[in-house]
Amino acid sequence: MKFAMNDFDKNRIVNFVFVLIVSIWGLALKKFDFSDSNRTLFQRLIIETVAPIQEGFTSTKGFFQTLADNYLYIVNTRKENKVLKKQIEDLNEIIFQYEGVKKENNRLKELLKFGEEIKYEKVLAQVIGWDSSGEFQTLRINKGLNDGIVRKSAVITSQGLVGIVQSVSANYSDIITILDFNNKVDVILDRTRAHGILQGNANQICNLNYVVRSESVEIGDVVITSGLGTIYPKGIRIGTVVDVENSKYALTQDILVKPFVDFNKIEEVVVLTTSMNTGGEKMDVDGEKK
Amino acid sequence: MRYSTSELLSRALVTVLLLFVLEIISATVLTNMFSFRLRLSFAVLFCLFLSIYVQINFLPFLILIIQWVHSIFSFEGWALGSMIGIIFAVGLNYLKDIIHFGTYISQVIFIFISLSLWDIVRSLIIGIKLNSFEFLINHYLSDVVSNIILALASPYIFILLKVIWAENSQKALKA
Repeated sequence: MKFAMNDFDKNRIVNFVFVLIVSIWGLALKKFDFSDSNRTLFQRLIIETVAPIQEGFTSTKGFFQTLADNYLYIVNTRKENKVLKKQIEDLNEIIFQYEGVKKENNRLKELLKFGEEIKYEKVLAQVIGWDSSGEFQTLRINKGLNDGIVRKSAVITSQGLVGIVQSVSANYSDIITILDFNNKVDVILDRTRAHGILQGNANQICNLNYVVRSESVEIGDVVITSGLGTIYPKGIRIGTVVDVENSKYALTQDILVKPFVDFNKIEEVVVLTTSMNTGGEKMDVDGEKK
Repeated sequence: MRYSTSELLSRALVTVLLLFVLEIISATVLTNMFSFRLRLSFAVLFCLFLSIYVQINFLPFLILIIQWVHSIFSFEGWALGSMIGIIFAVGLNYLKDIIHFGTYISQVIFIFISLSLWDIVRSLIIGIKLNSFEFLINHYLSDVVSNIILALASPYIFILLKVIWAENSQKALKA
């Protein structure tokens, strides 16, 4: 193995250096938070093309699960009566579909009922996928600019806060969830009204930072949004305190918060937006009137 | 390896289409069927394959294209992955003579180590960028499972990619 320059083709070195410089430039501009600029027009066009496929896969989730379950059952059972079994399967399928619709109906009802006191327009959306890189806890929904969603809109479920809209295309949006370390939410503890900043830590738990040592924090305390910063409405439930470490010499406490939202089972969300209060005028992705 | 421009473009296009399919599977199917934490970095695997097997001048741009496609499905964007991809490509260029995947296990182990190294470098850069390293260990531990699964699948994905990037044997003889 020779570490000599002639191992490389000159052109390749030029290409490597060029792409490296472009990447460093791109990385320097990247902010990794919701203030990051929206996707380019071309990227949004690609998302508009690809996202319907993701949506299609999501909608067939039940089908694939039933298929897998049926296969597992069938492997170790004898075929007793084909006609009878067929009838049972048909009936089960109908019941399964009916129960699915019923559950979905209940979920949607609950979602729409939730937060009636919140003075925002609510847009119901379906989760169609997660960020393909495990590093980032962002998800994609099937509603976008055409439905009145703009960047920095808060996203909730009936269980609590989900996150914030980071980028929007015509019919799809990407959300940074509260599990992502780039998402910081100004919060208060419901019992003591102590302030803190909630930040994801790449697990299914969030860190609650900057709560001073003198504040009383107990396991089970409920954390809600403070309303500061104008992004998240005040009083949205986020999670409960599951661990508190109050070191003698530290200025602040180390607190862990478990979100109310079960991100493993998240299917529908509600996006809170003020965009529809503009009298039907068209807006850009940042919610400014065109 | 030598490819004509049309060969290169057609192979790049098929690779991109395959990546699209795998990214959709990773972002939608796996997260829906199993857990939202099970996300496989196929783009990284593609970059590793290209760095190991496709030693052409156009390689940096291929890495850039792969990472750009990945950015459609990820908040990560294209720049970070491209930068790490270039670093890995240069490193693997020197290591290519001693890399021989004699067995399935050797390939799986090599790919697992590479994926883990990639993750560490990526997390370090993000940490430097955000001036915060608190999440690094948590994140790494949660990614180990995904990396193991991806490494186990890598020999099969490499077979597919080798078919796409197979050099025309007659041309190779002439060269």
